[in-house]
Amino acid sequence: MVSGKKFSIGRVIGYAVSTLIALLSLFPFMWMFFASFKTKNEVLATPLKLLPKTWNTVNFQTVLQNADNPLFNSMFVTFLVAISAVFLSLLINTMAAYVFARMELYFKKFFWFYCILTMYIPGVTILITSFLVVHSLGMLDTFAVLLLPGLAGGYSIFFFRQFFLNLPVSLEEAALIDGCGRFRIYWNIFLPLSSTPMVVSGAGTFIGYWNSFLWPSITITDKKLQQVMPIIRSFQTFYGAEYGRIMAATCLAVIPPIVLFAFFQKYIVKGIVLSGLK
Amino acid sequence: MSRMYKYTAMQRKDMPIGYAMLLPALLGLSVFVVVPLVMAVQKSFYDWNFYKDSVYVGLQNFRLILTNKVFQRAIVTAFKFVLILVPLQVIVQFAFANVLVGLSNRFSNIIKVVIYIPGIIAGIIAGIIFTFIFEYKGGLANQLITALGGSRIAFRNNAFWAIISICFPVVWLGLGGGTILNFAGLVNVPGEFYEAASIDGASSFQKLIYITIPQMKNIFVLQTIGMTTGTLQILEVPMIMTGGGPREQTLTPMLYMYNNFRDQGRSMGYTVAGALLMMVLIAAINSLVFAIIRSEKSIEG
Repeated sequence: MVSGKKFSIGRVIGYAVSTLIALLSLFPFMWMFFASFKTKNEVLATPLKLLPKTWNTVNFQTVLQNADNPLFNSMFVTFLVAISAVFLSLLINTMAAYVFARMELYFKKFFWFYCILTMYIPGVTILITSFLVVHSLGMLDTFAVLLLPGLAGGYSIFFFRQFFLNLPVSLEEAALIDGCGRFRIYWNIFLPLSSTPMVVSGAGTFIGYWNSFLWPSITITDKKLQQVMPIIRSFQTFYGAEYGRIMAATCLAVIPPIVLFAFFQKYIVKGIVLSGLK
Repeated sequence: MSRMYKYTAMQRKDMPIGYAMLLPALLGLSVFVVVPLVMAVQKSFYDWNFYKDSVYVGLQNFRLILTNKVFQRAIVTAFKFVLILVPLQVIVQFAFANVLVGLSNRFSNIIKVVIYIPGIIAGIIAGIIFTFIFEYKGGLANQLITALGGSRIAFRNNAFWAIISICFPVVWLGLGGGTILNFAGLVNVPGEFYEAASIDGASSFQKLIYITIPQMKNIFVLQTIGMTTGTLQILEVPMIMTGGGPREQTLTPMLYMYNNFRDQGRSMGYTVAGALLMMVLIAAINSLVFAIIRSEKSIEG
C-alpha cells in the first residue's frame, strides 16, 4: 500500500496477529493429527493433552482393515477418477475455450451464451433430475457416473477463453498461412503456453473431485466404486465417539490434496487471484 | 445469399474442426446441466417418485412446498447463516488482508500459503474435525470453557450454539481464499491515491473510507455473491455436525432436499419444485446485489 515500511508498534502487532491467525488455521490439522495416535481413553480425556502419550498406530491399522468401509480402496478409486477428470476436463474445456477465443462459427454467440448460462444454474436445482438422467442412461454404479458429469464447466471455459484472448494473434498467423490446421495450432501453440492456468484449473478439478460427497453418495452403492468422502462420512456413524479412529481416517483422506497443494502452492495461490479478479 | 459471405473462405473451411472441438463441452453441459434443468421444470408440475407414475398436478407442487413448514424453516435457517457468515467473512478477510499488506512480502507470502491450506479440505472433513472439537463431554471447546470457569455448552442441543458451532469450520475453510483475494485487491489500489490524500492531510481512517473501500467494491460484490450463493446451498458441514438438529433448527434447504431424496417414498415433485425456487431465490439475490452496486455508482456519477 504505502511504500515506507518502518519499524513501529503497529507493525509488530501486525506480525504477531498474522502469526497467531496462521497458527490457529493450522491448529485443527494438528488436533486431528495428534488425536489419530491417541487411545480411546485419551482422546476426550480431562484434562486434555495436545500430544498422545505414545505414538500408537492402532487407529490407522483399524480403519485400513475395516472391511465394511474400505478406506484404502476408496482412496485408490477416487484418485483414479480425480486424475482422469483432471486431464479430460482440461482437454474438453480448453478446446471449447480455443474455439470461442479464436475461431468463427455459425451460432458461436449462441453457444457462448449457452455455456455461460450453465454457470448460473445452482447444483441444488438439478441434483434430483441429474440423478434421473444418469439413471435412465444406465450409468448408476459405474466409473462413468463419477467421472463424466463434472467434466465440462462453463466457468472453466470462461477462464481459459480469457487467457487465450490475451495471447497475441501473431502467435498463430504464420502457422495459419503455412496451412497448419486449427487443432494443431491449439495443441502445439496454445496449450504449451497455458501451463499456469492449466495447473490452476487442474488442481481445482482434482480437489473438487477428491472432496465430492453428494454426487457419489447418491449414485454409487457398489463398495468397489465407493468414493472417499462418503466412506469418511460412514466412519463417523460407524465409530461414533471413537474419535481416534475417525481422525486416523481423515488424516489419510487429506494427504492427496495436501501433497498436491505442497507441490503447486505458488500456482494455486496465484490462481485464486487470476480466477477471482477477472 | 449475403449470409454466405459473412465469413471468409478460410474461416468456413475451419468450421468443421471448430464444431468438433466444441462438441464435447456442449454435449457435457447439455446432458448434465441443461437437460436436468429442463426436466426439473417439467417434473415440478407432476406428482411422482421413484415408485409411482407421474400425475400432472399443475402448480400444486409449488403450493405444497411453499406451505411446507420444514422447507420454510430451512429457508429461514439458510438466511440466518447468510446474515451471520457473509458480513463476518467479508469483514474478517478484508481486515486480515489489510494487516498482511503492511508486512514484508516474504512474510505475507508464507502466511497466505498457510491460511489457504484449509481451503483445500472437504466440508465433510472440516465438519468432522469440528464435531470432535465441539463434542459435549471432553471436547476441546468445552474443556477450554470449563478451564476458564464457564460451564459446558451442549452445542448440538441448543439452536443458537448449533448455528455458531457450524460457522466455525465455514469461516476456517474460507479465510485463506478470501484474504488472498482481498490482498490482491488492496495491492491494486493505485498508490498515488494515498499519496495525494496524505498531502491533503487525510487520516488513515479517512483513507480507508474514501479510497480503500470504494476501490475494493468489485471484490466485495464478487465475494458477497459467491458467499451468498454458497451459503444458501450449504450442506456438508451442518449435515455432519448437527444433522439439521436440534428440532430441525439447522436444517438447510440442501439438507432438506437430500433427506427427501433419501426417503424415496416421498413425492419428488414438490422437492424438485423447491429446488427450482432455490434457483429463483439465488438469481434474485444476485441481481439485487448487482442493482444496489449499480445505483451507488450512478450516485457517484
